[in-house]
Amino acid sequence: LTNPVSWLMDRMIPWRGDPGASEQALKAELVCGVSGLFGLMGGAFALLMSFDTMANPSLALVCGVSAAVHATNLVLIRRREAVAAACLAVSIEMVVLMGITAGLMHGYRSYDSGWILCAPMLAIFLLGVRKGALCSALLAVQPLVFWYLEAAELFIPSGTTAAASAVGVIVSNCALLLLVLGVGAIYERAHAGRRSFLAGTIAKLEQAHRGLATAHQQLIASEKLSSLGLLAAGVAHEINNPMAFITSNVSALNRDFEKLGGDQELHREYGEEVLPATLDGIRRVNAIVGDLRRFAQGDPETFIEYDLNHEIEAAMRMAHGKVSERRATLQVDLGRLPPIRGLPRQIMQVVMNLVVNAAHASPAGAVIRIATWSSEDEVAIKVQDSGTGMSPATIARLFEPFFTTKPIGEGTGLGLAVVHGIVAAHSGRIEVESSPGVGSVFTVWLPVAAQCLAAPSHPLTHGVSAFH
Amino acid sequence: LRYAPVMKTLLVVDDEVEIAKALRRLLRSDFKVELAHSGSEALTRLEQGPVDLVLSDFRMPGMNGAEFLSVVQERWPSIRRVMLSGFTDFTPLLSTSGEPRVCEFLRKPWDDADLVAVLIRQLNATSPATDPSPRP
Repeated sequence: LTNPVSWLMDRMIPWRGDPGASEQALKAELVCGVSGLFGLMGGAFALLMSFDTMANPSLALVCGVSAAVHATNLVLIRRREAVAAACLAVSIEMVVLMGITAGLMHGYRSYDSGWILCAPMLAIFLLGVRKGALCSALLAVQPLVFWYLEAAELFIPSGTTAAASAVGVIVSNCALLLLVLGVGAIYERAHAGRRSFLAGTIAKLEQAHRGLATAHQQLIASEKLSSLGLLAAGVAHEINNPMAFITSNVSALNRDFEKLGGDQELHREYGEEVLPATLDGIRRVNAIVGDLRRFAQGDPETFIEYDLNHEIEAAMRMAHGKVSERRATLQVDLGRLPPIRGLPRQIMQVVMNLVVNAAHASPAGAVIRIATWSSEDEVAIKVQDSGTGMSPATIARLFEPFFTTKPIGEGTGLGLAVVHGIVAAHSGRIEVESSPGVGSVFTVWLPVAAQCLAAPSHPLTHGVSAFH
Repeated sequence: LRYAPVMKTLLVVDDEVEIAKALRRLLRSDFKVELAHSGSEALTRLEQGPVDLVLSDFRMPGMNGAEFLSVVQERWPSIRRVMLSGFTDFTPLLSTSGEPRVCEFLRKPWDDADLVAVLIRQLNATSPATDPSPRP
């Protein structure tokens, strides 16, 4: 059964591969069984009515076998192969039954095509509503044509032998079956084409939707950073000017304080406590304002050509204290890089901030991997830790100034904001991959021939993803 | 006046009076410091007598620091030109080819020791600067 069955299935069963196939198969087999039962009843009726001919016992026998086959299928049905088996069985029944009827009853008569009543149901179940209706219409033409031919005495004229009539009917029914199969196959092919077109369109739409959703999120994130950048720039500028003379004046006061006279006790208190503490506070404010400015714009300086690996080695020396504090190890894999353009000191700060962050996130004794490599017109710096990792909520706010997960007093939340500002000013991009408990990977991509931007495009493109 | 015979003259240009005064307070022990609060005021002062170095802000009402220093470069090329600014895009100044309009940039808030060191270095440089290397 296997080969013809799969051949038939390929051409006749439109729901092949569908999850709901077994239910449809059950329905199809039900139709086959009912049609067989009708055949059996018809045979029995004919047997009772015309006991004297040999035709009716044979007809009854064939109908009985057919009914038994369908009943067995109904009981045993587990797989869609049963549908194909039933299709095959019914098709053979039709051909053989009509042949036998025609042969043994001395000529085909159009009203013997009563089986065609079952055909629409069968065709609709097997081929779907529209295809089934078309096939039924084609089948319905047969008795009409035959009826006309009989009336005109052209088809099976009186005097034709029983064998010749049988052959004629079998051949015409075979042709009709082939026609049904052919139409089914054509319909199926057209339908499959449309279905795959629809599936392709849906897949494309889904992909576009995902792309838009990601772009939308990135847009919101960069819009946020952009407006924060403007705010930071404004604040930095407004604070900077007064801080300039406050710093200078307090330094001058601290320097010249010894020369002032007055109350000795008060003099000592101011000279040893008030002024040094004030200067320390001023230094902290200036450091934060400087970071804000670097987040907002990067520092306005000329781009020069430099060796990135050299800056990374310098950054590692600078971060050494923080790294050894966590008893972490740096594993370095520096690739061959072309000289690139930019601000080496700022890039060094980028690497240092990333390494210090990695060290903070790492458990004692962990390894922090630093690698560089170059592609056609970009160089990449990767800093990877196996530390605590970040939640998607943290990743979303990563580059915002003053966003920190460290306890109050341990970090200003400006480290990655500065990284963002500097990389943006270099027309670069940052990729972040992180997963809680697994660790984080920051990859910074810098163009080899970066141009100093008149107004750094603050919406830096940064791809953020999480691996799980 | 410890070095009275060789004391160089600086002209500080800044529209923020307190900044100009703070600079004078810082520099008066080593240099002869004069103040101007706009580009045009500074040009008037330059016409009146020799100055060795101008230290100018960038963002000022009227003539900005870059425009002012261009005029200085054109009319008094031997005067050293240093810009001191808080928040500015210097790119247009740096990208000009040929002799730089500005010999050195400094950022506000400045470090007192750095500022003095830069001014001394600029005043000791005999030929017009050709190296616009950025200061950290």
